[in-house]
Amino acid sequence: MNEPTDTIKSHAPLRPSGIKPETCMACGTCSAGCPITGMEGFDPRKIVRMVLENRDQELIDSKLPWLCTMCGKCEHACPMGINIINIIRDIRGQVDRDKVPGQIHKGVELCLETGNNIGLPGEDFTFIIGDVAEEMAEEEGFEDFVPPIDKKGASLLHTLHNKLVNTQNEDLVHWWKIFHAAKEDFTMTSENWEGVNWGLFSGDDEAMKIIVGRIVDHMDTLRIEHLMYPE
Amino acid sequence: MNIHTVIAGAGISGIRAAFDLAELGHRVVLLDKAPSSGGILSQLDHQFPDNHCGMCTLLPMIDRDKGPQFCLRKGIFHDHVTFIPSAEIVSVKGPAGQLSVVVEKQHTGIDPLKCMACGSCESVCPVSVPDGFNEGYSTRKAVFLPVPHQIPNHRIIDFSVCTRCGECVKACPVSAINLDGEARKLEFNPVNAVILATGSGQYDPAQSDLYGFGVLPNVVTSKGLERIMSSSGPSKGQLFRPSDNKPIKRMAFLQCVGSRNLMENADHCSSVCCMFAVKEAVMACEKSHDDLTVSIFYMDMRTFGRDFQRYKDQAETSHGLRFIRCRVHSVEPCENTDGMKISYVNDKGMYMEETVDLVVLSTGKKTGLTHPDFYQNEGVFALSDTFDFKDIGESLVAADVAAGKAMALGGPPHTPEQRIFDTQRLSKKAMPLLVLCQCGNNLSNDLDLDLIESHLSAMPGAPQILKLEQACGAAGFESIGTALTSSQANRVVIAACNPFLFDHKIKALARDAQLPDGFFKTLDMRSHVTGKTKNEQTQSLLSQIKSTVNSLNLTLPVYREKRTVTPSALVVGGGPAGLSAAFCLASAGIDVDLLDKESQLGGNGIHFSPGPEKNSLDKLLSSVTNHPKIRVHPATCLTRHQGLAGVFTATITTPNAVEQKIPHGAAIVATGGGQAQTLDYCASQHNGILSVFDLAKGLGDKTLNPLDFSKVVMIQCAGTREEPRNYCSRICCTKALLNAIAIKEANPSASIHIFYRDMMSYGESEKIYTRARQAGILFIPFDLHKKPQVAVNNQTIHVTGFDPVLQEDVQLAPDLLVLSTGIVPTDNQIISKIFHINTTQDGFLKEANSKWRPVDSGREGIFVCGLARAPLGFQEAMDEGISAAMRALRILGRPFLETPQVTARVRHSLCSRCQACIPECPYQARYLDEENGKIMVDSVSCQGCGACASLCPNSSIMMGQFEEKGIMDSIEFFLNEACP
Repeated sequence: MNEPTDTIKSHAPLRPSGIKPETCMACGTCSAGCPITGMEGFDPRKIVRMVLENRDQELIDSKLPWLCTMCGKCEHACPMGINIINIIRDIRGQVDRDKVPGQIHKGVELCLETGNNIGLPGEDFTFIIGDVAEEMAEEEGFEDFVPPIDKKGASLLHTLHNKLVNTQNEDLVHWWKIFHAAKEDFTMTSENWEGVNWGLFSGDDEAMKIIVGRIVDHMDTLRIEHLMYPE
Repeated sequence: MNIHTVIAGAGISGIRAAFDLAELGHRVVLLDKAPSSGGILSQLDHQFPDNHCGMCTLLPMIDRDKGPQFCLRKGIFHDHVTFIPSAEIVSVKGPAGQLSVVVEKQHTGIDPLKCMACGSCESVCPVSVPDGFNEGYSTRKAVFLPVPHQIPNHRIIDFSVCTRCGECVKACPVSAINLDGEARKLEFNPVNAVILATGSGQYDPAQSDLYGFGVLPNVVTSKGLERIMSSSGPSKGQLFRPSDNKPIKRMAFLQCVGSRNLMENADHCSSVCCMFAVKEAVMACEKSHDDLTVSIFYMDMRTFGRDFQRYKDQAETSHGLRFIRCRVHSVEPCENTDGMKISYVNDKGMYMEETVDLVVLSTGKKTGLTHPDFYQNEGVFALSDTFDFKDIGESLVAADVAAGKAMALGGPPHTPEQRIFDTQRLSKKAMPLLVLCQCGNNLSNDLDLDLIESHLSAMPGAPQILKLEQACGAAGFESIGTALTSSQANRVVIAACNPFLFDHKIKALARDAQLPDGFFKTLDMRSHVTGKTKNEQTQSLLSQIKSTVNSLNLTLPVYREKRTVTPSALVVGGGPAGLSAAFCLASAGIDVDLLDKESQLGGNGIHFSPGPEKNSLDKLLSSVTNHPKIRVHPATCLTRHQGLAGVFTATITTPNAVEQKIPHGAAIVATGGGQAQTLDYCASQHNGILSVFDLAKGLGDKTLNPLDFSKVVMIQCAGTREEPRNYCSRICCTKALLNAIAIKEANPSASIHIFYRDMMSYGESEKIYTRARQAGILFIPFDLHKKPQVAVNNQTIHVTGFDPVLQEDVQLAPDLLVLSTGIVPTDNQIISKIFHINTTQDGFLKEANSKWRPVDSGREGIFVCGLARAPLGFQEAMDEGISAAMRALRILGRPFLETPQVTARVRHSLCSRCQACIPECPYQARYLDEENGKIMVDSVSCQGCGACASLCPNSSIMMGQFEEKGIMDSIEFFLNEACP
């Protein structure tokens, strides 16, 4: 019997240092620094240990991988450079999509379908942008502001967090004001404007790739050099 | 003067190598790029296990009059060693034996030949910068004493911070300061050898963003804490936290900072930090009268030295140290206080947070250091693992090995100094000459030398007085010489300064005047300049002069035994240590008798499987057996050992039961050890249960096949590191790791679990541990109270353990269970009795001092090394053998041993033979001569400490130069002076 090769420890992507998870010496640095160690049994060191013991299914079936905030504090201090976050993502990616908790997989599906995580139709998007811009233009100093959309040759692509066109559009105004004051030549896009890639959190590499691909396409088509993610 | 060896680095290893060679008669130049000697040890006051210093024990003990017996942390003084501070080797050229060594000596601003160390420069210097000696916890000037207790105490100028304002130049009364000088090049040619002992230095934790070092004032390094607690430190030995000088109640040590960290490119263990932390924690508790909670956060407590485990256990029980197995993520400041928050996971897997007043970072060795380009030159020898951190004892062994290589390139034949004494002059009544140094008239405000002169002239037995403007210059010494030639004076008192600095010049005076060195006394006039009135200071000096003259007048020439050395050695034990000792001695031209009770030489090495270790041993075996200077006595027992250093006799019994006497000058005991047996873990109940050593042997000679094992469990510390065998055997962990890797490489599908207490992969062995984990071997730590359980049922081995990481029980049914049972010494009970040397409570031969005299037995002339002394690896054992040989050569390398000036003698008429003095002598120099019924002193071994004299109930002990009459007269004299 040889070591199985389809385990998390063998296929979770490594950090740039290229160090295998087996290098873990269970020193406890990750657990000592993790903001949620002890919460509902979460402990990054335990997860790595279970991965080393090939207890993949147990992890896939458990709630543990979904407790992690993926803040990366564990990895930052890990003396062995273990790929803890990638391990967590890898586990999440193996969970049946209908068991992914909360909204994130739904968001991914919506994004693939509609170009944004909340399924906002194009006309609604255009309306909201116009409405918010009108409001902003009422303020002194911004009278001439027109929100740029699909502008070819702009310098900066401004992708949007869906909440900016949903519940927190005052934040959208902050961004625009900054760009306006800085005379930044930016643009938004009318389609596929979502800047939040929930595939990162749900461990869905395929979806992540498609969503990232859309942004790459925008930059190619509109010949834009710089990119801004809103988070 | 011909220089034989140049040694770069005057830390403890450099000093040892220098003394090794100096004692063989070589002339050594010892240099350091720092402005003082001592390396890191100049900053450390205390060493475990006794928590004292003891560095002076390193001073030469044979022919000790070659240097003043003086605190080595202050400076290095030996007739054959020239110390050059602030200097580095810049090039080494030429063939070994005829090297040309160029040294660059930094310009330090102050001419040591002119400077009289008054300190005026420092008092006017306007610059203030953090003082590196105190790790930045105090400040210093630009002109400063690099080490406050150093001698010579000349200040230097730190030109990187000097503003060149010139105030010091104006203030210097002797024009010793030059702000514009440049570095000088010194060339030594021809030189036999160069030794590099430049050391490593510590990792700078400011380069990590995790611990707040350099940002949070109460985060310190272990060396910083040492300075904070030092009596020469910023708070004069009080333990205060740096931010506000408040007492510390909670302290945390974080181990492995800059070590065992692949992200820092530090896949090594720095070896010493664990014990360093325990020692500091003990000292901190003692300083705080245990009103302090100390937590040590660790991954493995590496107590791998022979007696370290008990030291750690003792610290835990007597001071309540908390040992917490968890690496701390980071240090965070608390709001509104100077405290810091640290978090960890405890042994129950629970997340914990606590607040501490002081965080101590156990910083490892610095990485990325490279050897200079002349490192590869023939005749250049670097200490093994130059950049490693090592325990003091191990550093000395490494230094001995390097010195041995330098010695092998040849040196002077040992030509002892032939002293002639002017017996006519000596036989006359004591006639003292008093030299009064006026120090260039600089003392006139503080001391009234005219008054002293007139007082002394009126004294009975008045000394002849010679007043000199400056005694320390060449002219001064010449005047003293002339005065001695032209007068009948036979005792000399020199009142000047820095008595130790001029030791060699005073010896030269004594030699020329044909008087014993002991008839010259120097006293430090400056020590009487204490800020009192001029008259009081003058009276104080006058009293000392009078009493010194008085006691010197009573000093009589010492009888000096001259013991002709038998120029051959006895080596008992033909394992790796004994073989390397024998070969080293024979290479130095000494005849060696090598005994082994077995018929085949090689010790534990005969079980080595093919590989570098076996090759190395085979080579050594063939060198030894073919050496014309080595007589091998196989299957031979030692039955008796008598005599003193230089003149021992051994009685041996040959295989055909013939007794034979072997005279020799020094003996090396290397009787070895072997694997321990245990009854724990069902050790003998199943043939699938093996010891770590048997597995290594089986894998090596292929009697065991890795493919036969699918499930392997290893248990470390089986029957060891707990009472009664409470010591670490040092090599089992690495052996287990190598075994596991070998199995896993040959059979990747095998599962291997290693239960361990603390993985002792110290130093570079850490890389083996890393490799083992990467190979997929699983490691499960356990505590003594939760040992794995082993049962054998129906021919199946069952192991039940507890994984503290998962907080789960582990059930395994291995087909191979490997126990690391440790090492025990062999034959030491008999051997220690034969040699009258001591053993530890575990039966290992005990060295005189584990730090400073690691291979000396308590008895001069008898040396201990290898597994008989302590559990060791193969290379370590061979190095100890060389170290022991180098120590023996101090004796064997000279034609005779001579009594030093100050030793104890017994007045047999007063001695009651109570023998109380015998066990109390720290040098085992006293013994009962059974034939004559007398207590005797081995005058070569005696170091003149006086321990015997102070306890003798009959006052039967006379200490040369400190004899009762002289001492009592001095006391009486002072009493009369004080209460006339």
